[in-house]
Amino acid sequence: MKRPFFSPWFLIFILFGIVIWRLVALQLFPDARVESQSRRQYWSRIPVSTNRGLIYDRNGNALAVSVPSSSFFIDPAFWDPKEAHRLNGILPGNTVQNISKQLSGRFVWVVRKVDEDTAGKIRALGLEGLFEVEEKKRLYPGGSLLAHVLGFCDIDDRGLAGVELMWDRELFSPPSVRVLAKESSGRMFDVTRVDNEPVEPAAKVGSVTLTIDSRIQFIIEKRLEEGVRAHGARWGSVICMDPRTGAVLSMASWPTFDPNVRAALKDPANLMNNSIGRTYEPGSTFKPIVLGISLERGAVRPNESFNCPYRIKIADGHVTEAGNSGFGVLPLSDILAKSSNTGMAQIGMRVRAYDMYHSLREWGFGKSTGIELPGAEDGLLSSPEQWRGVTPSNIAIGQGLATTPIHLAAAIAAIANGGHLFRPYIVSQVLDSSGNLVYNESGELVRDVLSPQVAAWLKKAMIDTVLKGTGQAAAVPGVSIAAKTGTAQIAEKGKYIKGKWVASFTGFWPSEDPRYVLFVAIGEPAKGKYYGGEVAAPIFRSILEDMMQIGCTRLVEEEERCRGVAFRTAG
Amino acid sequence: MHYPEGMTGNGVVYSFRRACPYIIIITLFVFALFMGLGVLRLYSFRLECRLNSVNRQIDSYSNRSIVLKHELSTLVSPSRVYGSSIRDLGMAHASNVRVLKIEEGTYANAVQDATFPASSASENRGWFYFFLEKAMAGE
Repeated sequence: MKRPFFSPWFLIFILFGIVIWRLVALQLFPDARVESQSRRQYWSRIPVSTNRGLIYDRNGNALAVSVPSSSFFIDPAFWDPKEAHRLNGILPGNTVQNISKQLSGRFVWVVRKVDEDTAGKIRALGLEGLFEVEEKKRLYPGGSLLAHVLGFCDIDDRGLAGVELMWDRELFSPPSVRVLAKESSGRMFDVTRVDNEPVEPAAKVGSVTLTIDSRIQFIIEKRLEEGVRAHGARWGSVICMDPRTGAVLSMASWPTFDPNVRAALKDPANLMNNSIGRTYEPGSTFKPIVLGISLERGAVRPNESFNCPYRIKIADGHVTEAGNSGFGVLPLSDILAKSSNTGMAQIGMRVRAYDMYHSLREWGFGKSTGIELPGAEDGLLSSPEQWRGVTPSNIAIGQGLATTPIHLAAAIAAIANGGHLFRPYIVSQVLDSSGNLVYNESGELVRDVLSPQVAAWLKKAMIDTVLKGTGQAAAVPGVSIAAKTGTAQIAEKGKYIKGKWVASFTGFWPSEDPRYVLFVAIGEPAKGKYYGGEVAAPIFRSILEDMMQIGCTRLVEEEERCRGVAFRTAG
Repeated sequence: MHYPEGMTGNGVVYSFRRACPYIIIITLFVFALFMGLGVLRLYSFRLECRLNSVNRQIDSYSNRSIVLKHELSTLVSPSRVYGSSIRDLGMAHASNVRVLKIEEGTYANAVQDATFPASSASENRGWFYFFLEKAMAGE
């Protein structure tokens, strides 16, 4: 008998084949929806912050670092809200309250970037459904030191202010994804990084190097705070610059804040960097600039004298001296040393409005200084068409226009270095995450604004200001200082407010070869004294004395010579 | 019925029997391949675990390095140095800061003195230390 060609076993074999094929297909090539659902069930992908680039001062000290810290989240599928009370006393009350109710979804942040002590306490509770993940927390080792320049970041490490914001692209590292595997019990463990690439923080983050010297920064912040408190002032600003390059060696602003304390970031008044963001009428500290322009344009001669009465009438207004009497006839250098308003008003009237305006623009007033910080103001310099009546005279005494401390510091640096206006800069080097140099600055000459002769004459007049003029309170024996005081009224809604002043003092030393320009401004002192020579000059002096103690006043050549002599003698 | 030589009964069964060793060999070969694949997968899993462990170590050392950098920055921060020097060391702020200015001529003389022959330099140094020891004896 002939057997049938297709046996029943063959049919069963085919059926089994189909089942196996389907099984393989389901296991190895599942539907995308099934795949994502199972992933959600067994795996968690959590974006966590990674290392942010470091910020260094000029000596290589880290000013901002990202250190490991712990964050905690809840998977509501495993979380028992009744257990939340065990976190009382460890976490803030509102946080505990939030997790005491029934939560939806599979992922809820509880607390982020807590310190190790708190993390240890939470860990010790062993709460089911509460999971820990490692993140990086931005810390500023100096606390409030240089806070306005450094700025701060949000909880996800994105820069929000200062250098952190300005150079966020270079400093920020995209968050990495942590893959956590879930056990049936709900316990989670960190399996691996998604990309399986080793993370090398040192090589994979950018860095920003500042021109700031932390020691000088500490000195000026300390002295500024003392000065502001002593005079009950509302705000203050100090800038120290290297006049040879325009490098900002230190920049302080008061009131200040600690970027490590997030609660301190709520008050916008504390966050304002007065050194670059505060515009005010500069007052007499502006006179050397106007005098320089007048000398350059030939409007006055160095050996000229002016009659400086107490009060003079100019067009629709008056200009009066700050003191109670006039000075009589003063030579040009004494007009600066004694800070005569009526003398300067006459000089200001000699220069054509358009010429003065263009010269002031050349000096950088009324436009951006180009400093690498966000929030820098341009100042206010109205067009010469609006300079009517007494305005040119007011501008000659530093009223009727607004500048920021950094504008003035840069301008005074130009007088100090012989007439070269440098762009002020605070960032010397930036490396991106690949280690490429993306920014390098060592001084950019904007233009020459003074001839060496006029700069030397102004320097001498400013030395006289300290020796016999309004700046005597800043004199330090043995150090030749060239400086200028400033006392400016504050205008609001077109009128000067009685009793509101900005006391300022700016100068440089050693005058024979200036290495430091220092600008001090104290806003709205409220304890009686308000003259720049009384309020700001003593702060200038105390800063200079402190800087001398850390060796800042010695010239480099002197140091080298001294060292050479010492070595040779010792040998 | 006449069958060709070597063929008994059904022709299909005959050919199946002939192909059977090949099927077994192929099955064994496929099985061996799967086993090899499994072994390789296990080995790769082990390597992955080791790689993961090394990565964790790198992470750990990097984190440690960052923490140390932070601690160092905190230790050398001017506010801490200033605070420690006053609080712990009892240092006081100098109120009478003065600058000693050495004129150019004095430098020149000092340099000239320093270029004496080695013998007289050591002699001078000896005298210097003689006076220094005398001066410090009273302290």
